[in-house]
Amino acid sequence: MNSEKNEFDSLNDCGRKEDLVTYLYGEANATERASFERHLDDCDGCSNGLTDFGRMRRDLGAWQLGQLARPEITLSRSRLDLLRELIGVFPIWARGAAFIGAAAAMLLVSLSIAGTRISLKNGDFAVSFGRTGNSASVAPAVSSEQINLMVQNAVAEERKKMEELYSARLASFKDRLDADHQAKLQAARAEQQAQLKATQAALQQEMRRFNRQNTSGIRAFFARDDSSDPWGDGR
Amino acid sequence: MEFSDDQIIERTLAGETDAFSLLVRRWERPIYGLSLRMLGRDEDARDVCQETFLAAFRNLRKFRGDAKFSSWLYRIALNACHSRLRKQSAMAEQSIDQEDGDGRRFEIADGGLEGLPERLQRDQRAEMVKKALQALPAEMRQVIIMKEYEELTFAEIAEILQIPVSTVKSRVYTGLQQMGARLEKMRGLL
Repeated sequence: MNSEKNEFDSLNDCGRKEDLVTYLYGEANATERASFERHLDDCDGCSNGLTDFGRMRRDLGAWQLGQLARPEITLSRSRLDLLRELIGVFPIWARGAAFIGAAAAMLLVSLSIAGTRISLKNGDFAVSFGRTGNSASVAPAVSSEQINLMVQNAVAEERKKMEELYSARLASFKDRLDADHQAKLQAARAEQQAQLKATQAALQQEMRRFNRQNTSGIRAFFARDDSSDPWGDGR
Repeated sequence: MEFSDDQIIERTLAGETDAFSLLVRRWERPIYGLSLRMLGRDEDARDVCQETFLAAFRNLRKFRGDAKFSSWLYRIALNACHSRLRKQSAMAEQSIDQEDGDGRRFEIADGGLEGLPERLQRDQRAEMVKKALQALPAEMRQVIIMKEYEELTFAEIAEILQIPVSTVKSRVYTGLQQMGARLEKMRGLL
């Protein structure tokens, strides 16, 4: 621009360039307009500038953007927006429950990071914080074979404990089952014997009654007179 | 019934996200026009348009309403334009002589019933204006575009750019002055 010497270089000599553009674009109020028009009578720079700027505005008007295709705007939602919408769907109690759950999970993670140990042995509840055990117990370097061996031993020990526990439970269960079975067996046997005795008694009674009847018939047969009718048929 | 920008924003924030498309439809052409004149390439202008409305949609809750929505939207678009211009200038030094062959594409208005000689003359003038405008520093180019083509007031431009009104007027003046000098030079070459 410095090398381009032309009519535009002499426009701002009077210091009213802001008034000029205000007037040029029709934003001057009546007072400002009257004041600037008086100034134009005395200032050739502003007068020429107004003419040149007016011509340039006509040139600028030559660049019009005819019929443009509408730019296609696709509003994709961020993951955060989708999450907000999803959360908004749930009732407030569900959001509260989710918040409590998340807080509990964070608490557990924090306790885990802090080295907290929670143990439940024989019904006793114990909590210990921080790194337990003395530093001397921590081996400076443990090989993977040693770790594997330790793990295998621990697993074997645990398995043995479990097997003992289940064996004891099984034995106890078998004893209980046997005792129950024996009791039922004895009861059935006693009932069977009672029924047998009752049947025998009834049978004996029946036999005695039958014997009595037969005995009286025989006696009557031998007690009758056989001289007139030895065959008993009237012949 | 014509809803105001603020009413549409209220509906969008209340969960009626489809209402935002009304704002897109209302402001896409001005934003596209501003972007096209700032950047000079149709593809870039469309990308900026997309970025602008997406950013506005995502940050709608941050819109405080103490300024007009259109001012906020223009500001987002101009920031996106400046971001692209910085990338472009990092790749190639911009000069008026390079623009002839670098593939810049401008939309030319349909002349309608205009005669062929008049139309050719008009196209020639438009081409010169584009080149002169593109050669201006971005801070002057944007105020001239907003004033001439978007027909915003000095106060509105000042609000969008968050600068004093006097600075806007000064930039318009200097921009027109520089454009005039450049157009004179081009006419001298013809």
